[in-house]
Amino acid sequence: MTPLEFDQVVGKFGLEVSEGRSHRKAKLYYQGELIISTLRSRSPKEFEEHQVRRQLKLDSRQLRAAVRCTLGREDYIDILRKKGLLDD
Amino acid sequence: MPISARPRTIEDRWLHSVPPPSQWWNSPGLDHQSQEGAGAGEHIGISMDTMERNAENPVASFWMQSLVAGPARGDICLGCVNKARTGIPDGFVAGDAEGRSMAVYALLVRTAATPFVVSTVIDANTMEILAAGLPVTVMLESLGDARLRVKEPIEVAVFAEGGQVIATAAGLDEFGFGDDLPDAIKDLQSALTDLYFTLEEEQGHLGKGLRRVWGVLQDKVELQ
Repeated sequence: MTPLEFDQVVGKFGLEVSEGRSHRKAKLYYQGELIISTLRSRSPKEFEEHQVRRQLKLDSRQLRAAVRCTLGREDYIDILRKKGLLDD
Repeated sequence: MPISARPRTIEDRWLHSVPPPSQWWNSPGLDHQSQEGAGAGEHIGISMDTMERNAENPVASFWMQSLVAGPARGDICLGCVNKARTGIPDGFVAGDAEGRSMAVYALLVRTAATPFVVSTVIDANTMEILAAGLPVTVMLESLGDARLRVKEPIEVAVFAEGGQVIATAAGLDEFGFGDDLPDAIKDLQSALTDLYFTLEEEQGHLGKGLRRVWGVLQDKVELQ
């Protein structure tokens, strides 16, 4: 997965992005709670997608859909809800 | 002892390039060295002021003993790997008299507050396991940040994939990656430090998954 794809996915999901000391941080809030906290190195190198999948709580099919922009924020929230990660 | 047998030659892309032995003693990261027995192919001991200052640190003492009890004279040299950009020694490499690296024996990552953060021996066998694409486990004893102390070592699985080394922290869903093992560990340290302060700041309103992660992290890490 390229850093650009990562940025596109977290942007699509509506994660808040900020710059850390050595990483770009992305956080997903839902109903006032922090649900997902992930980050990527600022290195331009590609990284292994399964590590990102684990942090974003997605399977490979879902992540591919996210990269293709066929999976949006509401779909993502629904996935997290089904995984029991939301309190509602 | 971790350095007890002559390592087999490993051509490995994760090893740092090692200068010839004649240059090891002039490396900028080494402030003071014991050169007893020094000479091509005859280095049997090495000490650094960072080690001496931390002689009471059990990890440091361990490494001192390991190095002093190193391989037989004449066939192995011990060299200190330096990061050119920082001058910080972060590993030891055993090489032959021509300075060809053979194995990373110990990964020592230093910070101002906690000089030795990785206590696991990275030996020839470890590198072979990595080269075979299988994971190895190291115990992380510092996050390399003076604000934080690791009170219980963090288990880190390290494996090579896609031409990179990836280090993942068990139970914390966090990872670091890099061109070699030290870089991957440092990336993970940075990620865990970021995670700690993020979760600390947000601890009043964490979702279920991150509440669990915060609990695990608090069991292992605390503010200095």
